[in-house]
Amino acid sequence: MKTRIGIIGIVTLVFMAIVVACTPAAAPTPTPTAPAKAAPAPTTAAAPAATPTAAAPAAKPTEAPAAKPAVTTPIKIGFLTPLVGVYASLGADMRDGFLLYLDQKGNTLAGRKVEVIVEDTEVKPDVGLTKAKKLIERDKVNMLAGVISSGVAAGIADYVTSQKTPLMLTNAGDDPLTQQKASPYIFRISFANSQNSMPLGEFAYKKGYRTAVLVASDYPAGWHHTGGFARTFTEAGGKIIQEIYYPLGSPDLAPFITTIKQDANVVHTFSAGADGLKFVTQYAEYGLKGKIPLLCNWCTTEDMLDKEGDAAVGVVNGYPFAPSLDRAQTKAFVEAFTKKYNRPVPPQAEFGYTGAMAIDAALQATKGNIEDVDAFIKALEGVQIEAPRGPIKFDKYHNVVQNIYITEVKKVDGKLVNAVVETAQNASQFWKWSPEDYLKMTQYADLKGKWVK
Amino acid sequence: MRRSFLPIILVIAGLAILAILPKVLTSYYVGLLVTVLIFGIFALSLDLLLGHCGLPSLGHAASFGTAAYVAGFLSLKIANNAPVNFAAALFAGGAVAAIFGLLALRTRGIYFLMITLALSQVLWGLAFKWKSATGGDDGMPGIPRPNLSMLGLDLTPVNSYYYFTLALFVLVCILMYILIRSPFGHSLRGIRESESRMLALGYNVWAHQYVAFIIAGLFAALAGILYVYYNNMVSPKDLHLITSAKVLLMVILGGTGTFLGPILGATLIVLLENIVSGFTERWLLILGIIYVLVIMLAPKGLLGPLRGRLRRWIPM
Repeated sequence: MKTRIGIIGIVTLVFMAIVVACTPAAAPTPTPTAPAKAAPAPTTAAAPAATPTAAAPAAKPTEAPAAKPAVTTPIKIGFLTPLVGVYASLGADMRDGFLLYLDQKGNTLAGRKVEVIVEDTEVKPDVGLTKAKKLIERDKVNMLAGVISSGVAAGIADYVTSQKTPLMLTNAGDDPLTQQKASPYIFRISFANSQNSMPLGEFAYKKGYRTAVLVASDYPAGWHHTGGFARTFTEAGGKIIQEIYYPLGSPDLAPFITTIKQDANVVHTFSAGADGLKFVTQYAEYGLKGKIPLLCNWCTTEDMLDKEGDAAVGVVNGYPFAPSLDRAQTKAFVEAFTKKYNRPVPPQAEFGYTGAMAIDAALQATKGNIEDVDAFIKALEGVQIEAPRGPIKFDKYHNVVQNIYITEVKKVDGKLVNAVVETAQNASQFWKWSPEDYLKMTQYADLKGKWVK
Repeated sequence: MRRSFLPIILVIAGLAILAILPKVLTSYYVGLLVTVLIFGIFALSLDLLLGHCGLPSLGHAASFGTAAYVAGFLSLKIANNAPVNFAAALFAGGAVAAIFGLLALRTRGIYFLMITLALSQVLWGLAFKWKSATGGDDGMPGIPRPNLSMLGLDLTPVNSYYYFTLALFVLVCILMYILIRSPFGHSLRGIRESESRMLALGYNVWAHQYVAFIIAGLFAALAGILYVYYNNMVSPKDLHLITSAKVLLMVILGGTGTFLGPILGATLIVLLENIVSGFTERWLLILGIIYVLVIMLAPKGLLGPLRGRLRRWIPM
């Protein structure tokens, strides 16, 4: 009996190991997520000591911190990001963008040292919540930042609000978090999901497309992105003829791609990270490329673009940032990121960077006093910066107002780039509607599956 | 005389320590303690199957997760009526055990393990796919704590929830203690040692195991309810093989068929998972090493070497 129990235990342990290795979220993506692994992935990553760079203006020496005793202790920021699974590479890029800014500032904001504690959410809401609890209650961080997945953001939102801890979302676009469920403590520097796709819907109609197929990973970000596209596309007069949703992190998208109706004028997809890579390459493999134009959100981010190769050429995207932008700030940022990490720069790297930039601006305004949460939040609300992606500010629901760039993948000098073809200036999450009208409309999560009429 | 008083003194001392701990610990560690107590209940319920019946279930999360989902769904979408939601969730967890028991108890040993595994994964698949009801992979966040205002209790602060959990934990321990010492508990162990002999003696082996299976399901359901209210969210992970395997390892690590073993195993694994994972992402590796060491050095579980002495105080 006893040896049998031992054997059962070993079998169980092996099972556990196999399952951990095989669950979709942790599955090895078709291409190695090399950036994530090659990059230093410290659990507790305080960026290295001061390395003044050309881009870093010196901290104001006139600041006399003597008046405030709190100044001597470091500011602690908890950074939540996935380092395994479908969004592993985007998560690492976002983290490195954030750390890059701090590094440029000598790890000191408004005269106080900054300590960043990075925790892996594994793209799972329950893990994210556990890690958020650990960061706030055990590590006593002053604020949280990061988060890639909308699901994780929705999972921690209530908790963060109840703890009165500011949270700067540097990717997760879950629409309700800055709309129906807006919290005084949650800011978003990246985008609301449909903010990226509403301009695309109008763009598609302008291009003469009249029928569209929606394909998305089956979770909030997918519903919001395709929903935003469908809202403006049908408003303009277009028709959605099919909706396809696949599980996030599916190992193979062929079963879904092969069911796309061939008479559609255009396909819109939300497929990000490893899913984006699979979607774009399999879309070409199954002969749809060249037949039905592909509009997408996040399927050609720079971390995957080289691996997608020629399959990606001609794919149109809606992004808040493109490294090819012709701006001095963009060039300086892209150069600094490439120099430090030596890998392509997807928008998530910029989100992390700009997130740190906004925190810095608010800290300057409050003279580094992050302990006064209300004053810090007030300062954040007033932040207006010239980010690498363009001018940005927050609306009164704490979501960023920014340019949305409609880009097309082109081959320039043998290198693939997301080249800007059109810009929607100062696009808010409510697009052309007033916040009041917009919030009265049915939410995307409830519209999923009902776009085909 | 002295020998019979010692365990009572120890139990009272233990309870006193558990009652005082929240006063000295920060909220994060109180939260960990809540998790320890919940998994302690969960592991005790599994030990009824594994330790006392010799039935290795790898699908014990089915009752746990089902109750969690039912409690979460009712509190979030219908009404935060604590007694009704508790009863409904307990019933759901017990019902799952009753149905699965009918199917699984036709087999023994490794086949029992496989069939419980398969059945619980069916429920996991359901929770994963049925998005309109369960929220799919993202689960259901924002579940409020049970509303006990009619008793004058506010369970929102982690400390009050800790005492609430502790009270139920003590209740479970008492019930389990009575159950194990009852004639029913003795027959279960008899069946574990030799089914054919018990059959020849006129015992209804199947009925004994079936009732034990349902009781274990009910206790697991209670753990599930406490878990969902503590975390304020439920996700398919609560039904997943990983959860079943985790609780099975807790029981084996601590020592099967002992009273304190599963609780010790739960404590160890919860603390490892939360504290070690703060230092390294590879905490499963460390758990693996500990497991191998325990199997090699103390094959009866951590409490194995102490078992002879414990037996005098505590049944099995």
